[in-house]
Amino acid sequence: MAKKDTLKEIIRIGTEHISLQGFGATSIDALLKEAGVPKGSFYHYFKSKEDFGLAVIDHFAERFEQRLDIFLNDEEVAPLDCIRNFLENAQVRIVQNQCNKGCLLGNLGLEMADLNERFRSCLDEIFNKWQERFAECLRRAQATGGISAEIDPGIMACFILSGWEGAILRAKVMKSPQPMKDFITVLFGSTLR
Amino acid sequence: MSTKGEVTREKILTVARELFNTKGFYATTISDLVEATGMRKGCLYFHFSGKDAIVRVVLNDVIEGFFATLDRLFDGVDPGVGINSLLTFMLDMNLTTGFVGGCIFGNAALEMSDTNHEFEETMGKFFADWTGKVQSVVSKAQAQTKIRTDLDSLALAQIIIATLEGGVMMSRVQKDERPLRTCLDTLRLTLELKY
Repeated sequence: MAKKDTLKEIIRIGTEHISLQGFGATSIDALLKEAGVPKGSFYHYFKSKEDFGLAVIDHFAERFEQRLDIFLNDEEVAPLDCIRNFLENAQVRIVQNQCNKGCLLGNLGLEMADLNERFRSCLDEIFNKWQERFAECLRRAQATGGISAEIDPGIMACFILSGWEGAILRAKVMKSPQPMKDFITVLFGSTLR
Repeated sequence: MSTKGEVTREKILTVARELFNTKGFYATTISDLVEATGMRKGCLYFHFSGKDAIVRVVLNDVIEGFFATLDRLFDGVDPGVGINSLLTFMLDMNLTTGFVGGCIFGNAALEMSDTNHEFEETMGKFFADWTGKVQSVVSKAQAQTKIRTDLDSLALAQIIIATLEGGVMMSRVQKDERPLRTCLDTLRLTLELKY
């Protein structure tokens, strides 16, 4: 395997293990075995398990940003529908995984917020970015009359992100997409109306 | 009066609960419990066969306690007021802890799903029962038009619980009460809750 691919593979499998089991229960040995990578290579790329976890978060956030770009910047679609398309696409992806994985960052938020300050501040920063992306979309919706001018975009964005993360967590536990479906129904059927 | 053995057992459970809540179930080891209780390992094993046995009792205790609290919040009051009390209770509880530890049920559910079958089932049942209790108070509120009636009671119950879970998680990450507060305010408006 080329070096670049080794790193990619460690991160890919690491993302999978952490999504399914959480960070604490993820064993570096097990994931290296699955990747067919010797332990020395791991420590060539990462100083510690913590560094590895942070790299997985960064990688996830990067891909997430790309999806936000695709859906929220879609100029063919009304701003509110951009948000709806994004959430519905996320729901499809989660169902494809049998709802087993949930949202990597939401899971880590619950697991790590009080255990590791580097994780916490990293997650905090990323969630804030996401929230701002939703807020921006809501402001565009207001400008085009898609939602009431009385709605505070920052507050609504916080509600959407938090409620959505909660719904994904519920879906993981229930092994059913129902909480996500209900969230989308209520959000667009009433909250944003 | 409790015997000395009962006191010791209680102490182990109290300390374990605190550790599970802040460190997580997985990351808490028997050695952590030995250190935090100041007891000898043998003493812990005299009372419990191992970590799973402690987790089992702690989970059952917190679940029982939580449902008792729900009954207290909902029974004999106007259902709109009951639902609002639930929202306020969540915020107050987390303000007391300074958003450390967050929701022990959310944590447990997350850690147990896909890793431990027995506890995954326990948590699955807990969330189903919790949803059922919230749905039942939502139905009562709908019958008295204290909450919107154009959506079904199960969907509203799901939204209430998801928003609480997500709001607590976000507040824990930000170490700031505002995300949860914001979520609860928006939730009240969304539900058209009268209380």
